[in-house]
Amino acid sequence: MQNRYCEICGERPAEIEYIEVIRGKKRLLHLCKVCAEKQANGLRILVPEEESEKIEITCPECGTPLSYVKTALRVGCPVCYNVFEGEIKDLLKKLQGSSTFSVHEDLKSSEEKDLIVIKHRLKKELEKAVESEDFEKAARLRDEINEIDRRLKWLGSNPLD
Amino acid sequence: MAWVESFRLTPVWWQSQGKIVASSRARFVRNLEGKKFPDTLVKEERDTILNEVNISLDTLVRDFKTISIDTGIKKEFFTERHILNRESSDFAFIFTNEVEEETYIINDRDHLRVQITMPGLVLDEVFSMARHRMRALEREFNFSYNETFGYLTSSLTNTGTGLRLSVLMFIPGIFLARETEKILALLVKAPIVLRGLYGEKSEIKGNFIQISTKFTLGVSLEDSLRMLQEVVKALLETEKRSRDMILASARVELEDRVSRSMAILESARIISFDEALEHLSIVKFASQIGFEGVPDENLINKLLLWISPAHLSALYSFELKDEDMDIKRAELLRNWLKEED
Repeated sequence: MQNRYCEICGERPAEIEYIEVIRGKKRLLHLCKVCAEKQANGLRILVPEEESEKIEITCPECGTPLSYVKTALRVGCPVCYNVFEGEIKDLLKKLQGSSTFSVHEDLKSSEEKDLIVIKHRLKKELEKAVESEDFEKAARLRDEINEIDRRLKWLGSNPLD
Repeated sequence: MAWVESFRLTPVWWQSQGKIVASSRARFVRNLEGKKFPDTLVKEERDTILNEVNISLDTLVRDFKTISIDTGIKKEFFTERHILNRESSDFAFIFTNEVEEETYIINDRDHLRVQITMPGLVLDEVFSMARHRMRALEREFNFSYNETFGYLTSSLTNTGTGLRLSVLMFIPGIFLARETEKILALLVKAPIVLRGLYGEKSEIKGNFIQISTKFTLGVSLEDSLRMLQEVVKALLETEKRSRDMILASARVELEDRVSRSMAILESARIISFDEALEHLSIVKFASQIGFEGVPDENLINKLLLWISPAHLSALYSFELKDEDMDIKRAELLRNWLKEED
């Protein structure tokens, strides 16, 4: 549309595709902003934004557009996290109050604690199995408890695994 | 439909659920390094991931059963069973142990979702068990991770630790004592997420609520656990107080409601899911506080599952017409309640 002039004043460049509907008949006019507003009787004309702003940024790996990330709060692949890093940080701050993974936890450090909790539960289950004379289950549970004991013993002698 | 045969029984954790805290759950989501998330993969790529994960799970879990979610009715059935949720994808694959306490979901919104569910208030135990399994899986796989964001997940609500701890609570006292608004106001301020009976995007009904940890970034795993435990403890106390209050000041009114609900459940010829749920919920409450003339709570829990639409249809090989659903539901209630006498 850049090279065309307004079809009403003929002076200013035509920026707007104005569709007029009179008694069911459509007519397309290429108008400048000023004439378009006059033609529309004072109704506000929404001028299309700059072309560069209209282009969707998408992830080169999976094709997920940024607008989807913003509305669905989902990404399509790990690369999205790099491509949209700034935007994702803003979204996470709103969602979670924080945008960075500050607390890195190595699951190894909590292994002993977890094993003790699990062993405690298995022992309770074992008691129940013995009570209800489900010996097959009891034998299996005993095996599992022994396995945990072995692991605990090993961790005790090699605390950092 | 042969797949239903493996899921004929009511899961033990559901049938013998705890009284106020029905069940506890720990859930981790993870994705395999260098691969796009399931939503943006084509079928062949998803199958490759499925095979890779499947082989490892085979050696990790004893007595498991598997099922591929390829129809809407399956998705609904496993949502009612608290394995999937309304946000689940249409091509997930479920891998679960016999009692359905340990569930692995492959190719849902993320490559792998590990869920440990147990009856009662046992957040410590489900948490330890889930971490224990994750440790074993970490030895097998490299998961998608980066220094800034932690574990990378498809939903930004999981980015970071990928952990969500949750409890399903049965709080009729709070609802009946009209304490609900006070409680909701308190919950909105707490660092938790409040959901309905079937988790994500589900309504609060039947006096059940699900509450879960909210943050997966900026908090440690242990902090998440503590935050949820605190909220649960406060809710538990309020529920107990509300129950005492109702029994002290409105016992006859409650007895009246229970009797009416029993009468409807035992004699209705047509009943919708919501109506049945409402009455079963009242009767469940009565059973918990030792009222006479109401069924055993285990039977009520079992009914709560099998009156739900997909489970009810399953009993009729999914050949039930829509207009017959409410009739068959009423029939099921009458029969099962009669059997107990």
